[in-house]
This record gives sequence, C-alpha cells and structure tokens, in this order.
Amino acid sequence: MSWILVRIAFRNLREHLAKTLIIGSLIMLGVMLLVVGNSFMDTIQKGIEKNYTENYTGDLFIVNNSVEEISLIFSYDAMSKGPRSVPEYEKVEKIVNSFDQVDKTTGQLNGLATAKWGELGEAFVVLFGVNPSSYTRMFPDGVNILEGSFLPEDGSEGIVLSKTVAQQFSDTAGQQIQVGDTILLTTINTVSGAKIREVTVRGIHDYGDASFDLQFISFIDENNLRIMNGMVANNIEDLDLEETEKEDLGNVSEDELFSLFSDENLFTVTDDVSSIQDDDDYDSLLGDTSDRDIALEVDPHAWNYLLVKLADSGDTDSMVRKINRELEKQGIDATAYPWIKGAGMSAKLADTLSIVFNVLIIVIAIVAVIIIMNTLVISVSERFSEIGTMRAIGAKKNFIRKMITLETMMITLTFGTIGVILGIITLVIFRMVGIEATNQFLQILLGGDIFRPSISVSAIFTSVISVTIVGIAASLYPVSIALKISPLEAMNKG
Amino acid sequence: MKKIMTVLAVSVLLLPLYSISIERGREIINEVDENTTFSGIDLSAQLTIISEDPSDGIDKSKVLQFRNDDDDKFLMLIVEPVAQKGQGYLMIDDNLWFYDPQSRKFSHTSMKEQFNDSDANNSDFQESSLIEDYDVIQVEEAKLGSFDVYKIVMEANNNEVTYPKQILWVTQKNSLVLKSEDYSASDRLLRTSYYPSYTKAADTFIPNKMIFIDNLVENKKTTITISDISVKDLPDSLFTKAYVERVNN
Repeated sequence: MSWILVRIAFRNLREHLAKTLIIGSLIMLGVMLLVVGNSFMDTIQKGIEKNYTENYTGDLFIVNNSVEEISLIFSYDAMSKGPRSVPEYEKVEKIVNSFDQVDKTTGQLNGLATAKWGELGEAFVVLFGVNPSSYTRMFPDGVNILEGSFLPEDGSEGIVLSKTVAQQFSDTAGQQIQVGDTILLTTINTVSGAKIREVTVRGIHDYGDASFDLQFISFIDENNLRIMNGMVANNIEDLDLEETEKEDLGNVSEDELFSLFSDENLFTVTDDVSSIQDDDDYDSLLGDTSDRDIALEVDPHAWNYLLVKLADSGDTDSMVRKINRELEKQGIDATAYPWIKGAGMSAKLADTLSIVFNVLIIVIAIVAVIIIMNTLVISVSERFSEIGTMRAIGAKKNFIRKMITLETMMITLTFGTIGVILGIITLVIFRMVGIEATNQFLQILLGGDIFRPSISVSAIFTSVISVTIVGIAASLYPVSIALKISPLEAMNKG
Repeated sequence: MKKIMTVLAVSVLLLPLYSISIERGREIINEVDENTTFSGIDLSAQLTIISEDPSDGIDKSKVLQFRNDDDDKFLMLIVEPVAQKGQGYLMIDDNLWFYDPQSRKFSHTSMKEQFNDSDANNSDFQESSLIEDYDVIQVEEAKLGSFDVYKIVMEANNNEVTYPKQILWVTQKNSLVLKSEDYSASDRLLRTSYYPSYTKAADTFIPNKMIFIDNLVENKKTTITISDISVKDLPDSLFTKAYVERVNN
C-alpha cells in the first residue's frame, strides 16, 4: 500500500514538474535562508556571550532588589539614594561560593563622573570600582593595558582610563595625558552631595571593539568610588520636617498660592536678625565638624554587584534559580540574574535582531504556506476526475489524504534537504572568505573586523522541523478539497 | 480698497502701542533687577531647601547664603545634612567654585548647574541681571490669583544664561516676580517657579519662599524658605577660598 502511494505521489510530482519545481525552489530558498540566518544569529549570540561573560560580566550577578535600573555597564541607580549596595555582601558571597559550580566571584561598583585634567582637559567617565586582585583573577583577559599598569593591588588610590576618555582629554587639552598625571573627578549623590576626588592615572586600557557601552569605562579604586557614590557605613540622618514644611509638600495650587496675599501684604519688612557680632564669628559658623567625619565613614563592604563566574557557563540558568532560592530562604533582599540582564544595549542588540529575524521568518513561512497551498489546490483541481475515479473504484478517504500529504512531504523534504546543503555550502564559503565589518556598529555586533559564521546544528534542526510544519500546514486545505470530491460528480465532469 | 486702508490705518495706530509695550517691558524687568539687587549693602540669610523627588524621596538641607552684589560675589555654605556640612559654592571673579571638605578640593562649576541636586540652579542665588541677558519679546496685562500682573515673554541674547526663554509674571504695583516659566531652546517647558511672598530689607526685596517645579519629572519639586535675613556688611575675607577651607577646620 505504502509503496503504491509513493509511486503515485512520485508520478504526480513528475507529471506536474513545473509546479513541483516552483514549490520546491521556494522551500529550498526558505530553508537555505533559515540555515544561514540562524547560523549567523547563533554565531553572533555565542560570540557576544563568550566575550561578555569571560571579560566583563561573569555568568551571573547579584544585585539589591531596590535597584530598578539594572545595568552592569551604566547605571544611574549607582548615584541614587538608599541602600543600593548588595545587602549583607559577605554573607551573600559565602552563600554563592558554597555551590560547587561557582568558580570565582568579585564585587563591582558603578559610577559616573565628569573629569578634569589641568585647566582645559575635560571628559565624561563611566566608572567601574573594582578590587584589582579578585577582578583580574576573574577576568584575566578583560583588561588590555596599553600604557602603565592596572590598579595597585595594595588598595591605594588610582584610575585606569579608557583609551576613549584619554583621547577626550587629549582633544580638549591639546596634549597627551600621561601615566602619573592626576585628574579631578566630580559627581553628585543624594547622601553626601557633590563629591570631588583627585586620582592618579595608573594606566590606559582599551576594550577594543567590545561594545560602544564599554568604551567610556575607566577603572577606579573601590574606596574612591564608594566615597563618590555616598556609600556610607553610618546612616545617621533622619528627616526632620517642621509642621510648616510638611504643609508645603505635595502639589502646588497656583490659585491658592496667589489668593493668600495681595499687593498690600505681598511683602513684609524685616528686622536685621544677624547673630554675628564680629568677623571672627564667621570662622565658627559650622561649629564642630567631627559628626561629619562619622557620617562620611565609608562602608568597606558596599558593592553594587557581586559578579559570579561558573565552572560551566551552561549551568547559568539553573544556578540563578538555585542562588535565588537560597537568598530567599536566608531572607536576603537581593536577586541573582543571568549576565544578559545587565550586559547593556550592545549585548541585547543581538537578541533583538534575533527576534526581528524570527518574526521575518514567520512572515515568510506564512507566505510560503499560502503559495504552496494555492499551487496544491490547483494541482488537486486538475486531478478532479482522477481522484474521483480512484474514489469510485474503492480508494478510501484516508488513501487520498495520505497521497496528497505524501506528495507535499516529498517536495518539502527533498527540496528542504537541498536547501540545508546549499545553506551549509554558503556558510562554508562565508567562513572561508569572511565578512568584513565596514563600520563600528557592525564591528560591535559581529565582534571584530572580520566575521566568520559557524554552522549551527540547532539552526539545521530548526530548519528541518520548520519546513516539515510548513509542508503539513500547506497540505491541509488541498487535502480537505480532495476529500470532498464525489465519485459521481467527478465521472459526470470527466 | 476702503477696507485695506482701514486695516493699514489701524495697524499704523497700533504700532506705537506695541513698541511702547516692549519698551515698558524692558523698564519692568529693569525694575525687577533693581528691586532684588543689594546695591551698597550685603545680604546674609539661611535657606531651608526641601526637595521632593518621586524616586529619591524627600531631602532637607540648610544653607547659609552670603551675597555681595556690588562685587558680584556670593558664597553658599551647606550646614545640613551633616554629611554635606561645609560644602560650599563660591562665586569670585566671574568663576563659580564648588568645595568638597572631604577631599579639601575646589572644582570649577557652572551657574547653569543644579544646586546640590535640587530643582534650583546655581544662578537662582546670584543677583538678577535680566535686563542684560534677555530681550523682551511680548508684554501683556494679566491676572495671577488676586494680583494684577504683567506677563512678559523674554528670549536670551547670550548663551551664558540657564534658560533660553523665560516668561515672567510681574506685579504691576511693585515689579516683583511672582511666577516664572523657563523654556528650552526648542520651546519646551522645563521648570515653573513661584515666588509667593517677599521680605523687604533695606529697600531691596528677597523672596521668603521659592518653589521650583520640574516640568519634566512629575511630582518633582523644590521649596526654598529663606529666613534670618540680614543686610549687615560682610567682610571681604568671607568670599575667598581660604575662608571656605578655614571654616571647615
């Protein structure tokens, strides 16, 4: 029975060769596009993942739950008020390191500042505050030092400027900044207000074509960045508002504001209330400032993020779940996230492009289904009398169904296989020749000047599954038409 | 033809009125400057600054303000919160410096910058120089609550000012600003300011209260209450970097 079906299906395809070739070519091109496109996407995603996890983010990270804008690269939250550091950092670090799958951990602080060098040099810097020894242990290839060295391991102050920032200084000052020069960093936080720090340039580094986000990042010693972020150990301030001040809170009503007074009582004449008797009194205006020193004492365990490197990156999702369960169990107000959550725009761009590509593929698949279906419907109509006759001499509906489906599947699988082979050949050619990234956007996305895509097994598998689904979907309607053909009507027409 | 002649005649008649209005507008903003400039005397006061921010919550700070308008100098010295005690903004020789007592360093800053992360700008604390910095574009009579006011539309004539365009509501009787709308170059409303009452000290007016509403962030606002106003002469040594360092020791 099956053999007969195959022979009939094969004969029909051969007799309608033009239609077979049209449908087949469509399928072949579609599958080839799928294999090449998905392999490109897989290569880009894997490249970005490897680049980020091995050099900047680790496989996962832990952050305080109150942080709304999660970004390991660039976060305004680092400058905002409140306990934005990982709570009970040492305990969290101990919990994380208790898992065998965890290879290394390190803390990271984030910050932003304007930087001045001499009278003229100006730049905007994105700062990573790190512990130099644990950071370089975790990311041995992450920092490419062009001049000088990385931050001193004894914890003394310093900054390692990014090449881009060093160039900004050179452009504005008209001369090259040197290792050993000092720069002034200015920033503001809502705990200790505006902060100025003078730091020594220890080195200049380059992230290469890693990402646009990373080009402004400079490394600074952890103590300086904690001071700049207002990460203090003693929260001794309590908001103390007077009753009249509480009344001023909330929305302002313009009508109320300007109906209380009139021209007659808009102003009052004041008596001089100065308590200063002589000029010496000005020197004691601030009184005792020792309380300020206590208020500004830095919390040495404050980190914005705990970065975690796993022995096997494939365990990332399961480890995120495990660590989060343990953090919840221990009542710690922090959450673990996979690296991509905090990796910034460039890393997410590949994901976005992948989504766009897949949407495009779905649209193409729908169009392909419609074209194949229409062609099959025409084919079935042309074989109206033939199918009717088959039904009249005893062919069951199931036989007709199998025959049409088999015809479709023969086309899809045969041409699909050709598409896969052509896709692989195309990828091999691209891999040998290499695709040149002609602009910075492409260089960031493709991870370098020349892109060499890998053949993705999952892309091939996905393509074969997709083409099978397309084949089955496209045959449903023609089958239903074929099954409606009555033998009597077919013979009358014939 | 008759209609055209009528329109032309009306236009010619209205032209002087329009130019008088612009000229009157310049007079008014000149009066605003004079009313709020401490000429021949100095000013010291305490500012209580309450900032409301939907993401950061409520902050309160106290600042001592010292002004010598004749020499274009001012000093703002933060006394509360304790973590910011001693931080200062010093305006000397057309340069505005910020001082951080923790690092004992001064850094050059700009009048356009926000004051201590509030909705007030550093320029809100210097003497008013509207007549120099802005051209009057339009003047009309208006009502603001129970006040008869002039509504004056101004555009900046230089890049040094904080806002390229301002609309002021100025009392007709005393030439005091009650309300200001501050716009970007693209005519976007950035900030609305209210000055609901004033104190008169030695013939010069200073607002008792200033309310700055951030029009870009909903429910973000700063209220500044001014107290302990004095017009006693201030020593020149107060407006020096040496003093700012010394007072922190």
